[in-house]
Amino acid sequence: MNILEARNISKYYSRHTALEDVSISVPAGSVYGLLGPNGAGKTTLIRIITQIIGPDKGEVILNGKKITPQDIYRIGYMPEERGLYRKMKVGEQILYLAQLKGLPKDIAIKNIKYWFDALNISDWWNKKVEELSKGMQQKIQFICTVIHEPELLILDEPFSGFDPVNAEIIKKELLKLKAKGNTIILSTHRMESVEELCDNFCLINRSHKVIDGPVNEVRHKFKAHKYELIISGLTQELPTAEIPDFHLLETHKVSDDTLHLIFRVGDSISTNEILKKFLPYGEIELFKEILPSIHDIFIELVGGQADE
Amino acid sequence: MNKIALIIRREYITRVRNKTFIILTLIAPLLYGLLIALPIIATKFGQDVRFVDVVDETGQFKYKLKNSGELFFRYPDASFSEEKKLMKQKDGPQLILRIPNQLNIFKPDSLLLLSAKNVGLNFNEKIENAVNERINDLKIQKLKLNKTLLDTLVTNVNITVRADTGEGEKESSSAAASAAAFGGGFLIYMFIFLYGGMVLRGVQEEKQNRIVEIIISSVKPFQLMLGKIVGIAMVGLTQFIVWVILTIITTTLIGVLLTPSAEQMQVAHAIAAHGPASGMMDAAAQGTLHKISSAIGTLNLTMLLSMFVFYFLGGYLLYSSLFAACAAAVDSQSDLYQFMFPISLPIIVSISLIPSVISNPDSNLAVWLSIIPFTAPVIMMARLPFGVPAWQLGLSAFILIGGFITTTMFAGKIYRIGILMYGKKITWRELSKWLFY
Repeated sequence: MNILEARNISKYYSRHTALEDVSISVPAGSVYGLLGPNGAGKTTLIRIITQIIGPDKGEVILNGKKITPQDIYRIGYMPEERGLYRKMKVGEQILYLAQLKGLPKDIAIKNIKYWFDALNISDWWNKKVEELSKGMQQKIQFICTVIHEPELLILDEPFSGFDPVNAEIIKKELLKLKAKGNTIILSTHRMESVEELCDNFCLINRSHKVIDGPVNEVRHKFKAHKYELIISGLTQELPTAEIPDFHLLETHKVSDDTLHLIFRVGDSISTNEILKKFLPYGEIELFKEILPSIHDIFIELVGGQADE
Repeated sequence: MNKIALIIRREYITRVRNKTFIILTLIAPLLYGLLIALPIIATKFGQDVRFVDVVDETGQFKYKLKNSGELFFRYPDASFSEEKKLMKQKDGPQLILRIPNQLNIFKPDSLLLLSAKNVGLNFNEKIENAVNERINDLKIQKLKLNKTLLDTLVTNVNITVRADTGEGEKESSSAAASAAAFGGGFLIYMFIFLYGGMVLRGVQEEKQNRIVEIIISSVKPFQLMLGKIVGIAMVGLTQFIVWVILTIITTTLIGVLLTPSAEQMQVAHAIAAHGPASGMMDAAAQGTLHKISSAIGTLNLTMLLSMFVFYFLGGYLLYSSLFAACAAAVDSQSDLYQFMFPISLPIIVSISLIPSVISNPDSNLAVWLSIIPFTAPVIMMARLPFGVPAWQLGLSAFILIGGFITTTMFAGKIYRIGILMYGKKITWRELSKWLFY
């Protein structure tokens, strides 16, 4: 079941089109990647979903119903451009933002304590934001996003500006939230940074949707029949001639009798058949099909059109 | 809790808890009170009573010189040379006035004031006045003039101004009205910029901080803008009420301090007993106070204060929403000025027009400016102390309310779009487009 569907969304500004007929479907309980270069229209789509701006065409469906202003309580949004009131105390600030999300005060305080413990910042309540380092502020921003226990989390460029340690902490917390059944939308132009987290994704370029679907399915669909092989104990030449359309892409000798190969084959032969051909020739240390990354797919689909 | 209420509460509490705000709120009226009190205190405590020993060789001045507040004449029987000796002693006379035997009252240039230390010019003048007065009397006697007749020649016009407000005539003081007009107009101008500036900086802070997108994913931009404006208006009202209360307390305290105590009265009476013509020590200071308070009494303070609150709120709402829109639309401080200047122009113009409004509060210019909502707050405050017809006040208030509703709506539209716009130089054309999105 889809928790969120955006149907045929278009948004026009006076001098340019921000989105043209973009539709996405986000399955409940999954991590969804909204990918594309800067300026593709990702943030506009998110702002339409979070009802900060309205679409010129199309509609947003949440849990099977057209989205209403009340639904903002079910969404947690961390914008790309994020900040906090510098002079306000950390605790009061999160409490204020939580109350704006409709959370009663007592529950808000309970949740803040939970997150303070989870992120090891128990004694931060009375600190002023301006006293915190950037990394510390990012933790607070993350708490502000999840404080009202939203079903749907939308994080725009979540890892930009995060240091690697904090990014790792946040990734872990996101996976925990996913395990609890929350749905997470990650938007980023750095496709490789979220590929491993996402179950489904959508590629947007120049206001248009390029492709969407489950990450694995799409990668298989775009596979170039590329393989990587490390084989040792070689006594004779590999039977590459028996494999249709065999193209050696890279090779190097690891030792006298060990070879590391990367090659491409035609699509008439299956992975198992290739493996069978190599099995008698030595000890197979590694054999895997190289699937294209989302970035590769993006390049293949839009070629030189990317604005990056 | 209602979201706008939450926003109002945050805007209010973060500002009211601010240390600078607390200090300014408490200290301003004290400083103001001190400013009024200082000259009076200086008159009262700065000068003590000085005794002048008069060596009157003519015998025509004894007990005839008029004592004033800090000046008291004594008439010892000693001769000038004896007095001079006494002066060297401790507790001896500090000032000796010698009126020589050969004094020519038509050319009185042989008087001498001998002093132990330097005497201030002001003090010297007071002694001269006292002597002049007596010499005048002597001249009148000598020339056999009729003193009563002469006195009738002295003219002292005192015009009583009455304002016909329709509710019967009322005594008024044009000086007090002018002061109230200036004060009211200027305070409105100050308050609008003070609190309008707070709104401006608040919006800028949210935009520069980038917290605004987090907030408007929870509330509508219009709610955020309105909450901020109302919250700061409440800060302004709080400050105003505290100022009014503290000013009343400090001026009352000053009044109490400057009224002579029973002990002082006794001293005054004791001194007065020495001479036939003597005045109370505090007569001058009290006279001034009395004049001020009776002048203030001619103004309708309750009406002025409540109208002040109304025109402050109206003007503030009108301008602060425009300020908020400007701050939302631009990124940089320098871009801000190109929008702020034309917007604040009407209020700056109205301040510069106050003098001409006061000199003719019912001129066409004054009437129209007090009805146009952009100039009404300042100009109407300047006209009010002189009396304004009810229909003009009503029309002005009605248009002002309509004006701030309109500007708030327009500002809301600009704010909504501007607040998410970064890194773009905004032009007037662009802004006007946003109005019709």
